[in-house]
Amino acid sequence: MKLATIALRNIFRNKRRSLLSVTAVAVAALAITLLFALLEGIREDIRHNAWNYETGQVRVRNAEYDRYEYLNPVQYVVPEYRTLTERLVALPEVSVVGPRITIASVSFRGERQISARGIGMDITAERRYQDDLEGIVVKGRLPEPGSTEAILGNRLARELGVQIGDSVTFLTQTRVRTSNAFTVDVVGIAAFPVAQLDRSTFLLPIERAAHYMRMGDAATELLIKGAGVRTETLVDAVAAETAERGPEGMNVTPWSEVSGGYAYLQVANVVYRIIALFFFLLGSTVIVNTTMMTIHERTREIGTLAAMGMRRGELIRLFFTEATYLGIAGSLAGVLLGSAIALPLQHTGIDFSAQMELVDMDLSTMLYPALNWRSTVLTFFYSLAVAMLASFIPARRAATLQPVEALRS
Amino acid sequence: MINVTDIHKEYIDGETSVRALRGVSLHIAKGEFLSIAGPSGSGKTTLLNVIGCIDTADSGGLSIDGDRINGAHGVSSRALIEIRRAKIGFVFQSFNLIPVLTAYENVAMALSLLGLAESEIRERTTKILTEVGLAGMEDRRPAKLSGGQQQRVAVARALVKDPLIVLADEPTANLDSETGEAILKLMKSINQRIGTTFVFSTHDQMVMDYADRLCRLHDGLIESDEVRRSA
Amino acid sequence: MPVQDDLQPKRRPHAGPRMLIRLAAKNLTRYRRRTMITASAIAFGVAIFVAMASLLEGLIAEGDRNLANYETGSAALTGQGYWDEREQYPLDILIEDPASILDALDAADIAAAPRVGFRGELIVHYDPYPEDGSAHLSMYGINPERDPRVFRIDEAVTEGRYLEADEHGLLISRWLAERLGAEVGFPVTITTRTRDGFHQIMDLDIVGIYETPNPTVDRRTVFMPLEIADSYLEMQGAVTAVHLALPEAVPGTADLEPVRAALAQAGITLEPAGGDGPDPDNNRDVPGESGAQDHGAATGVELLSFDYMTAEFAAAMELQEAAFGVILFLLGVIAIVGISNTMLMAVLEREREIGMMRAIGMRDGEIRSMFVLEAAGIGLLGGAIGLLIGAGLVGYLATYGIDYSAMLEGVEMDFRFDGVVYGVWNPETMLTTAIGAAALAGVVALIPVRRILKRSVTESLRQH
Repeated sequence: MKLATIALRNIFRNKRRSLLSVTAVAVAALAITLLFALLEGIREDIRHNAWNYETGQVRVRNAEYDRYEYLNPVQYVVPEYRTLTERLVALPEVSVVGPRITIASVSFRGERQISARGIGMDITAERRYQDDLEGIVVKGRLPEPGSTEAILGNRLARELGVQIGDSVTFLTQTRVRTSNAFTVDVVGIAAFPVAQLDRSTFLLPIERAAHYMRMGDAATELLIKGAGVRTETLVDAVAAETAERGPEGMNVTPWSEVSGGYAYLQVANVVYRIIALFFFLLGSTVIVNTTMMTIHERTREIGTLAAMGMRRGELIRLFFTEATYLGIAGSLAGVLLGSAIALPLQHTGIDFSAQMELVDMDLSTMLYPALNWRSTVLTFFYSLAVAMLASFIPARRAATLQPVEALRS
Repeated sequence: MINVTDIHKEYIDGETSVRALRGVSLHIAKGEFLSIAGPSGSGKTTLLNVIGCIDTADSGGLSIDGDRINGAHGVSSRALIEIRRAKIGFVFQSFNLIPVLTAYENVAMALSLLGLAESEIRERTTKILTEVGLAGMEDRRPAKLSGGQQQRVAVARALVKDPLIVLADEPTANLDSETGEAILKLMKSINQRIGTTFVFSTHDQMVMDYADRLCRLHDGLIESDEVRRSA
Repeated sequence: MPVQDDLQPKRRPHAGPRMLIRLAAKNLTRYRRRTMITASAIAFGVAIFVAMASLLEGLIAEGDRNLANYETGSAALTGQGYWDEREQYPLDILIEDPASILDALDAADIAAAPRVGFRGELIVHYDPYPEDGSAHLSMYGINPERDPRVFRIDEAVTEGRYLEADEHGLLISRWLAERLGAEVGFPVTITTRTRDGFHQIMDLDIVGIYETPNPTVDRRTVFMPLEIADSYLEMQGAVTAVHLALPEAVPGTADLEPVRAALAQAGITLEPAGGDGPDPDNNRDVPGESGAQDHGAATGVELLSFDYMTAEFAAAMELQEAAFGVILFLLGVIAIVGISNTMLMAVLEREREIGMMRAIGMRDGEIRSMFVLEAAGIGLLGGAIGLLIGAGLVGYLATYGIDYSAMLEGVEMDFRFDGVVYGVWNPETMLTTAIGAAALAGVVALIPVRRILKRSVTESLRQH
């Protein structure tokens, strides 16, 4: 008689108890599947925000600018950015390039000083660069290339007290370290996914930004997205290009080094895995409980099998197999259910705006859980492994029973 | 074939220690149909357990078919398991069948443990089930069998592996007298036809009457040991 | 059979609680190994709980302290609606006449420090700095004599010296100094706007470098004497806030009544405090944007509590607490299941014994109580051990803390601790946890016991 068959039949012996065990494991696996889907969504979100708005997948910037970044060292630029952009786009590893001119500025409203950060972008190129540039527009439209128009983050607009059709004047420091004031016409209101950007950012055409900042043909930085290549490959390719044909003195930085959200993710990853361990242990305790009760109830049976000459290892394996089957059923059910719940959420998302209200993090207010098959499969095995490990200890007890004692019960 | 030499066995029951066997010596030849009788606490179950290698004596010797089991150093429980697997069959008072297995599977289990080929298992199992009179009941689970039928399955399970000895601890205690007698008749007939050695532990007079030889135990020692012709 | 005496009131003999306790205790020693294992599991849970609770409390305490000592004080007086707009550093919501307020508070012996908070651009030039540069920062004009009574900037000066009245001096943080390449004695230029909206330039020298445990202050703030700010910004004596320090062990717990009383006595009326609560979105109406304002029209003065001013921090902490809460809940559930496992085994193995006890006349309630006491005993034992271990952990945490600075380096969030979080002794929590463990264990034991008691006595006796 195969152990596996006996184990399977024994599971159906006490259906309610088996169901309880399976349910406990399933609940844990379900929760963790959802949790990791959420984490994956956060990871994707951070990546999306970083690549589109903050750092690109790889960023080219003047090394001296990076060094004195805090000082807002606008005098350190990426020279001749247009030709550099063309050269980079020609590389097979590069998909799109978004040049940027950053304008750290301040606006005045009555007695109020309102800080703002202008981002000069090549609007035409940016439509290709961004995943969905039009999508951020809530009212009005994007500025026309070369115009004095601008689109404001909606919170910035509110703080400035302006609407479409108004003009705003900003004060800034130029590349040559002089002060300059410039005025833009508000043609659109934007809702950036990241609240922080909403509060402080406005977008304008790069040509005008270059003019206001006296940049000439230089830019503050180039954001680069790769053509489906790994970040390290992209970094190497771009670095090789600039090393070979200039400009000199550029830093080519991968986003993982720059993005604060990325560092947070690393930590979150570890923390979530520990939480997962707790959850699985929890679910497994019911299996442990069940196995213990099962062994207790079948003591005489164990004694009989021992009397018939069943070896210790075989006895342990019998109960261990039972527990493993329960673990498999529970983990599978949990992971499948969790995936089923996460699937629609991938499209509708979860609204975290209430939580993000007062907290200042560079996460979007809408988070979309992302199902990742690799991580789902890993969750299944993680859950199963914990269940199996946990049930091993009570299973061992089956073998330590003395046949004489067992038979007497 | 089985030699028990001056076996002592003491065990702890709760707070007190009980000297179950105080120097029992016994020789059992092949093919015997032997009954060990005595009041409760006389040590007959313990003696059976020692002979059946479910328990080890504290001192004294046991040899089965020439192999020394209990020596001065005792023997590992792993070795005992192997002996039980191949050479010893048990029949219990409360049948002790595996509830999730059918009659056939319960019997076949004993052979699976020996790692025999599927065809041989099938042949021997069906044969022994017919011998004990359960042809046609192979696919029933113990819950669907009467007490007598279950005990027949147990007997079949004990016999299917062609053991050196079958040990039965009060096999008729949970059966009414008619069924009990039928079981006894079955075991006696197998003993006479095939020559399997049977050792019973009992205080049922009917069992004693069927035995060829009767050992009486009292307070851990053999009181009498007489060979008799059965009914 | 004794005859029932009808004249006596019927009294059922009771097993006294002492006997039950003694029984329970004896049973615990019977199963020493199992008791110890379960107690250890509980101890583990309790120790972790206590340690984490202490860390969390330390985090909050540290944050509160850093807020109170470097940003808010115990409470503050500002123009009405100033706090909600403080990110814009509005110079049109002011306390026009701080002198009378200060006099009133001095008379009541309440420490008070006036400040002018504004935003400006700090500009440095190559030579003596390693590089040209500028940074938008928060700037405060502070009264060097009064400010130390409420805040601790003076104690935080690590190089150079604290400010002196009326000098063209500046305090910058070590964090800023490192990034600017600044040293004591270097000159800086500050551009800003006056109260009336006119462009203004100040030339100051760095007189001191400070370092506080509050990174939000360190990364964004410089300090100068109040007279300088007043003069250059043309404040005409007005200030943006008067911060108060009240006697309290924990920030935000002091009673604000003495303040109200002192001000009322001086004839200063307060606007109703807080309004509708913090409004970081600035959804409320913003005052008109015309440049010059009528200085004669004074806005009301309101008294802001510590809790009001730190609402955002509190919200962030709530997020943390919720996360901790979930983990601790999980720990609790694991502990419960562990105990129930043990009690289940214990009860199952002793079923025959229970049958016997019932057979000799012990009541169900008494049997239940006995097991509950046993379980509570294990819980108490585990709790006590856990407390000891937990106390050790907390002691370690309180002395050495946990250094998060490596994790926080690249983070852009506003946080109020400089990387090392220390544990806080909380004997109340510790005691409650231990007792809670005992009580929980006792309750959990009831379930398996009830199952056995439902069976008939004969069935129980048949076991084993």
